[in-house]
Amino acid sequence: MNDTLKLLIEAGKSILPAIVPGAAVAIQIGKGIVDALDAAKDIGTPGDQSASAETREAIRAKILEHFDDTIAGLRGD
Amino acid sequence: MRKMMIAALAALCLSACATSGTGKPPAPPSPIEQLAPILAPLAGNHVTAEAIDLAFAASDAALYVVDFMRSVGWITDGSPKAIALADAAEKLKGWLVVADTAQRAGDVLKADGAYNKAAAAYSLILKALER
Repeated sequence: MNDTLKLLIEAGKSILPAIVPGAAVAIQIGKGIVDALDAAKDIGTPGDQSASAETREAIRAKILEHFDDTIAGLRGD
Repeated sequence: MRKMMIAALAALCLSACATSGTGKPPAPPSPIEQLAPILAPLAGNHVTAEAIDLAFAASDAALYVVDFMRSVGWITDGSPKAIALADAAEKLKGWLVVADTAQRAGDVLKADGAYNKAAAAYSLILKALER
């Protein structure tokens, strides 16, 4: 894991206390944020370029799907 | 709590944050503050693949916050606020994809332009959340 991604994960963790005052749903969402950031940790790992590219694509697809779900929900679809 | 969440999101934003003078000795930068310049294309530099990766991750995190606000009733699906957020998210998604595609193709100018538009769309999301 490179230093930037370590930093990103630490940033996600530092956000958690600000948004988790005890509500279970907030904890779940906070965990989602950290998971989202944590998922990025394998991107750019030196060495296996093809595996890294595959991981990157998988993460991209998941995020784009999240965009679609949230946008559809917001529009009331 | 809503303001705290928006502040946390703003700290994860795609643009660089300037520090303001408070008269107190400067505190060591938080991980979020250290991230800001990495997420932002610095003047004279071009958007990197890593910056785009982080922008996707930060946007994903923002979506989780929006999901949370919907789940607790702070945002009503189909309301004007929700539609404004959906429009901004649609723009953010579109420009991130354009920036990513252009960066991979080596078209740095197009990647820079799209990245900046993605950053503007991200700001629109923050503004919509503040309302």
